Amino acid sequence: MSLEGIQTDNANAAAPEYGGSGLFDREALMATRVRYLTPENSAFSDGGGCLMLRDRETGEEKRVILHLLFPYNTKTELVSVLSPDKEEVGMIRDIGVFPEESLAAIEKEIGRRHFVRRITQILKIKDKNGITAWRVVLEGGEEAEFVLKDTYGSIFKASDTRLLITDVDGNRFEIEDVEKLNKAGKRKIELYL
Amino acid sequence: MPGPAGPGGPGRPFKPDVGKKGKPNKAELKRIREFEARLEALKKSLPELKEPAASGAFDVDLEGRTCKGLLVCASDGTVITSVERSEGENEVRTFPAENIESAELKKDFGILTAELVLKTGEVIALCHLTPGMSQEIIPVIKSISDVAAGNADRRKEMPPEAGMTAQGRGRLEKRKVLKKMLGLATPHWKGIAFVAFTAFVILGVNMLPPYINKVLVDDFVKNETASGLALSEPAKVFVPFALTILALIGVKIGAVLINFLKSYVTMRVGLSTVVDIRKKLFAKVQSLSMKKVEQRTTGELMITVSSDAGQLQGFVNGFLPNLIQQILTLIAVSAVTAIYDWRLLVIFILPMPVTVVAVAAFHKKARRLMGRQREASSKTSSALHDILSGIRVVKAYGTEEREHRRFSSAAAEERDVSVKTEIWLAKLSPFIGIGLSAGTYFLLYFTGNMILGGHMTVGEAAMFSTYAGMIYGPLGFLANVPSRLLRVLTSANRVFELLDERTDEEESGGVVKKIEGNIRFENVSFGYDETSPVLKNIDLEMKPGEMIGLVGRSGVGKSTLINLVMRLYEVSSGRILIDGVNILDYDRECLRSQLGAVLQETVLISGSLYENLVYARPGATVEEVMNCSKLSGVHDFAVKLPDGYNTKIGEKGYTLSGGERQRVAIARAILRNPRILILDEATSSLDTEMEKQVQNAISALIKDRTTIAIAHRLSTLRNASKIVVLDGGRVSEIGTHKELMDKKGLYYELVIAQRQTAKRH
Repeated sequence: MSLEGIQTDNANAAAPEYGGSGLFDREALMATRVRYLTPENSAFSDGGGCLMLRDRETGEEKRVILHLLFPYNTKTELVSVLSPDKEEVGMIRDIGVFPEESLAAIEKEIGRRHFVRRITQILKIKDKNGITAWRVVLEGGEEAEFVLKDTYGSIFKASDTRLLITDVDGNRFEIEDVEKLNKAGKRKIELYL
Repeated sequence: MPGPAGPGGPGRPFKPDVGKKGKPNKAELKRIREFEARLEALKKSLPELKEPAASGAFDVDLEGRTCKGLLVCASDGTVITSVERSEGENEVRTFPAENIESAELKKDFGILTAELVLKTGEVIALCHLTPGMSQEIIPVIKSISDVAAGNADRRKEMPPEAGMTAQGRGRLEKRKVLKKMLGLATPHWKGIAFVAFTAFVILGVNMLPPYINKVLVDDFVKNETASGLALSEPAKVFVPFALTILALIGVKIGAVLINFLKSYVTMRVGLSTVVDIRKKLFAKVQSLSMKKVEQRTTGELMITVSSDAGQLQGFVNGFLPNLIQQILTLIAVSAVTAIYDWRLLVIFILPMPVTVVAVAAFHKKARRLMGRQREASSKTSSALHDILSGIRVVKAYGTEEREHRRFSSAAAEERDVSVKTEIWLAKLSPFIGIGLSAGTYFLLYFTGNMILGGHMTVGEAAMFSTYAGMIYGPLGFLANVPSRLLRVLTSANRVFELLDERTDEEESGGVVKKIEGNIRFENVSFGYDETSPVLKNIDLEMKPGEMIGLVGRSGVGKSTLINLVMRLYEVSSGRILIDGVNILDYDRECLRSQLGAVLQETVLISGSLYENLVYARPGATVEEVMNCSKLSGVHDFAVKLPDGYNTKIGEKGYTLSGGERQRVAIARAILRNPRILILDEATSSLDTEMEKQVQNAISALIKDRTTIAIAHRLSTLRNASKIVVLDGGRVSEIGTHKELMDKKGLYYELVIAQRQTAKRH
């Protein structure tokens, strides 16, 4: 997955020199900058149903929540780390840089906070004036049914081939590659793209 | 086995989530049975478990895997989760009641988490669930919090939100809706009966010309005796011939007249029905509570009132009479043909199934293509709307080129889709036409044979050929009935769903009295959505004439508290009393007429400045309005406008600045002379000088009435009789400015922070 179209600046670049411009208070500006969490300053571990963050500099350990900032685009980059009352503690630019133990804990937490079921096949789409009832096969072979109220508006094209679907209840589904659906399934969904 | 602890709520018999009176479908029944079996098993395995106060199923375990799980709140407050690991093997966790503070439901991406807040402040994740399951878990979460807060008995019985599962919402109860639609037409039964009668007459009139034609051909044109007679005694032939022609003309004129009458009556009936519906819908929308209005988007409501109601009109004055007429034609033509020769009827009917299937398939595909075309065209217009409404931003950022490209690509897409649709229609329509008229060719062959064999006259053949033409119209029409009907029913369903909604009026009591202004909050909790409470267990008293300042960080629930006083929303638990009477028991009119508000955003109606002011009290005299306008500072800018108080404001009119709008709002509040006054950031858009002036107006205004004020600039609240500091949805401090400053708590911090910011500037 990539962050197409989303510009990110380099975390390691030196802070821009705003001081002296008279417009901004440099100190205040530094305080409002995003704090990036890296393997050097933090370690993550699984606390049994929740994620724990250990600050390597202070040695302090606390419970944190992960929140994907671009859930449609990526599950591995730009992840916000929040305290249980949703104050940002810091941000992870790319979870891939963390060592294995931290990474496993992070991925587990993302799994708990980001629940998307992958559709592998479309069996049926029944259209009743814009309200559609879908029967699909999910990854793992399980069948599922769901309803989209505003069908066109409920399907988000994350890329040319990747689709994200949100049903009336708020359940999330993903079609990783429309081209990989079988011919009948592709024909059924084509009308709504 | 519906018990007190069925999924969906405590203390009331469990009703599965289906349409209001619908029967649960098989899948739902299976799910309920499974749930009950698992609950029973859990009860057996935990003999110490008290009778559950509430229970519900969840579907994702703490590791993020799908599972079958149960969340139970026992009547003593113990919380139990159970996850099925393998057949009959459950992983059970128990949380004793004495440690529990409350429970919450947190939303993430495609998943929710039920959390337990312990008295120590620690938060424990209980389980996860997909959003579709939230209706099952919410009652359990509420129950846990209620039992923990000790107000299990005070809990208000909430009626179940009927039919709120995905299937329930999408489902149409055709018969019921149809019945209601007929109900709407009943007041116009005379008109409808007339239309039905004309349908009969028109049918007769339509059946006549082919017959007269037959008489013309057989008795005059192809009749040798007649030809002979015409030469010898022209008068004997000419008179009946002319009479036949006249009859033909007469019938045609009659048909035109009757058709006109029919159209006129149907139009009248249809239009008056739809006007009735629109009036009802509009009245309904106005009387709905805020919460119910917010459940729908403005667009949805507008579609229901305008186009859905229009669909119903189409049904009453287009579809329904047409349907009757077509069916009658079909029956009559078939009958006449069958009486003459049953074989003819067979030839008529033979292509029927093929036709019906072909036409239905054609229309299905055509409809989908049209739908796509509509979607593409709405994309184009929404791109246009975006660009035009944001034209300032576009120009300011110099992105004209980019917007041009965006619009062009949307327009190109619309063009491509339209071309595709049109080509398809053009290719297929002729074939459908030929297919539809195939029966006519069979008929020609058959009648030709009959004429050659001497079994039929030319006139009769011509007559049946015309009748055959008359039968295919209705066939094509009938093939489309199901889809047309479905579309009308969908619209009708939306209309009736709205009409059946309970209004604020029906939900309120009838107490009418003059309000003194004593407001009391008793253990009030509230959340805009049930999973996340904004206000928690608020206890508060405001005496008549007091000015209460509400203070707290943004998002803490200040405006929410005000919304509750204005009864825009209903509390989730607890109650609000005004002069000792529950706010819900007041007559809506009575309550609102004694409330006045200056809110963060001032909504102006389109009209003159004067009309905008007098909107607050339509009966006010010019002098009164002028006084209020002087007090609030409106007068200062009104005198500078060329058109004075007649200046048209709102869309296409004079644009008021933020400060001017706020002054209008204050003038309205003064004019209204309410018993309870609400000021939500009433002076935030004014400059310091103006604020000082308006503050004077406000001090005059708040005299002798209960005032609740929210202000960002804390200095404006210094004179408040009481300052209430909210934090985390709870009241954290109450006192006068001096008391709270001495206390050096949250209020002190906020004041100091504000002073420092002020100094820096």
